[in-house]
Amino acid sequence: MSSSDIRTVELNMGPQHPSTHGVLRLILRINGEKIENIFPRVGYLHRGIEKLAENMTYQQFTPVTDRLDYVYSMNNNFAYASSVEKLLGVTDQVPERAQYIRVIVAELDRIANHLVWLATHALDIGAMTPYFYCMRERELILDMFEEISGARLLYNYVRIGGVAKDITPRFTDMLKEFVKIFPKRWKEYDTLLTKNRIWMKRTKDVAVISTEDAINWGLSGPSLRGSNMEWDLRKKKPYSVYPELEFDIPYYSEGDVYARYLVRMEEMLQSNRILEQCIEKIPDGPTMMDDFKKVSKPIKPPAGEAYGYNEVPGGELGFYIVSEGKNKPHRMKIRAPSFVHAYAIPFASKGYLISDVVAVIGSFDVVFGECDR
Amino acid sequence: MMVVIWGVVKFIVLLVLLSVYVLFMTWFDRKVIARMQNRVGPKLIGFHGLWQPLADTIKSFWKEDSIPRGSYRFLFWLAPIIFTTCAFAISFVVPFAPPIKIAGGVLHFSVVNINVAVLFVFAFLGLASFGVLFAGIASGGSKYPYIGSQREGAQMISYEIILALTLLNPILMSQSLNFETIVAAQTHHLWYAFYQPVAFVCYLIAMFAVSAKVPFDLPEAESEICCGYFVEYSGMKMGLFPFAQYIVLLVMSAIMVLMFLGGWTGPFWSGGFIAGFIWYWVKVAFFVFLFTWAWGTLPRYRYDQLMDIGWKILLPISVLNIFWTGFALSAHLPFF
Repeated sequence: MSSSDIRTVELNMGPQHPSTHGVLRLILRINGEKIENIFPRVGYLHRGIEKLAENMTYQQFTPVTDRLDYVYSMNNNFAYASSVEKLLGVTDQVPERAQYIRVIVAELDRIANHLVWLATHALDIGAMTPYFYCMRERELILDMFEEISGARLLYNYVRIGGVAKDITPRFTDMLKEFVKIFPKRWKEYDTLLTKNRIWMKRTKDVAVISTEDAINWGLSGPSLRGSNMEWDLRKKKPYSVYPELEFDIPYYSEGDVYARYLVRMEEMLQSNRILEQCIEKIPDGPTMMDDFKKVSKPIKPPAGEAYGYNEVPGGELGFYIVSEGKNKPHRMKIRAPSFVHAYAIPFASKGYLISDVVAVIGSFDVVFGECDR
Repeated sequence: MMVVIWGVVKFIVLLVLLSVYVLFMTWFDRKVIARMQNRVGPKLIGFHGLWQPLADTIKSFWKEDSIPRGSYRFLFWLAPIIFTTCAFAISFVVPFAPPIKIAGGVLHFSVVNINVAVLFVFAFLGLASFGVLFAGIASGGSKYPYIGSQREGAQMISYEIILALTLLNPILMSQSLNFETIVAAQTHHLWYAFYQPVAFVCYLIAMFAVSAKVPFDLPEAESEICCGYFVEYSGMKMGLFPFAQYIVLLVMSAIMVLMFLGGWTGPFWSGGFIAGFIWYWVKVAFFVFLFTWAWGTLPRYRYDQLMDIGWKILLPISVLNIFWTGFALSAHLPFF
């Protein structure tokens, strides 16, 4: 019997499935447990955010960016604000203190996102306990965000021209405390997973992506750095105050799920390092440009285009904004890393087993608020 | 006649005790795992949530019992019955306390004290996998249960071989298939775990695989195939699967203690019913706890890796180990 005589089975994974992280639907064509092909179906969370942008003023759109990837809302705000500032040409005029606060919240949010990623990734592979350890630390970060922005999920804190409010002394105390304890807590996840035999067996040599393929598929962020590519927008195309801060780009050459896991784990510590420096270096001063203090004052960028990008936890988040000189953007395109990564899942997991698909989804850290927009 | 009545009485007592045990275990599992994960666990119903399992059972009984359209109704009903019956059957031959001599006779704390007890356990354990296979097939073309039952079937069959091969060593050494005789044989020597460390470890791994617990819980991997073979079940029919699994888990731990760790004998303070009873249940409880501990600590293996461990590592090792035991016994090596 040739292989074509064997009947392949179509298995619907999602949109309601514990490990498709939201509403991804994968149609698996399986032969036994082996994956022959995967057809991703996205769009279950489509809200037309790009179109919404055309009917909103620039300030009104800031809260909507929270809804892109709701796990790292601060980074979305940051990316959008810096894109609009780029369009306006006022990138240099944003107060120094605001820049530092932006970096602090962005890095805190990076840790918060990676904690959610680690929690769910471990849960997908069967380890239940890391989930609760990660949520314990994420809770600390959410408390901090609540202190400065009043919200715990959708912050609307980083605004065009600065940040909404100055940080409070209580926030600074909490931050100092967090920075001190986090490496110890990180060690706990590390001991549970990194050298665990079963964890290594499940993640090593699974879904290997070569550097060339990673670039061709448009991967970015930790997923690209797992494939032997030293690429981080914070270092390679520096923005905000990142050039003044000292940190490394972790990257690994294996290109498998384990390498991407190591990259993200390492990134948490690097973010912690950035936070330590920010606490030392943060200057006094205003936190908002005078021009943008009033939200009701319309922003009218000159006609033109700008592409702003940030290194968010998932990868490269970009806003391509076309202005016609009105108070609303003519067109906005959002380059969402989750969308790109979702379409690399079939490529990465072909020929592996069903159990590996959930590991691959976890290793790309796709969130469907952003993918479907 | 007396034997039959006595058997029925023992059967009913065991049924009640096992049900209470399973209820307690669900609570214990949840409490221990909560403690490991910085949570509280069940808290509201009763003292530290002690009545929670009872409430869950009542809920399970009153839930709508839906049978999916297109399922094979007969098999769909039969599957949980087979699984539960087999789980109970294997618990019949396992002694749950040391025997005591009263009024000239011996009171055995197993429902039946047969001479081929170990063989009986294997027979019904093999049959139990049919319950799982039927559950997957009877779900009427639903694919997740089908994959789950395939996994469970393959896993149980391949690991029962290893289970049998490892248990063959204590059987060879004691020349008996009766649990009480095997324990008695260990009172004369050291526990068999010291003679047979390889078989002990192999059995430990196979025990986890046969009872489908973490890290070998592939048949019901929630994050991959959403609970596997009993996805389509609801109400108490669904409740019966974990119910039977807890019993299998207890019996596997009990067999472990009886065959390798000297049953009711202890390194000190042994002899007498009370001491034996306490020693026995302390050891069994440790292994039951081990299942929960592993659940809170380890990730899950992949299907092919599980098969690799079974067929490529454990099977050759246990076969070689039997040859070694046979050689050692026939050559009368020291300690054998």
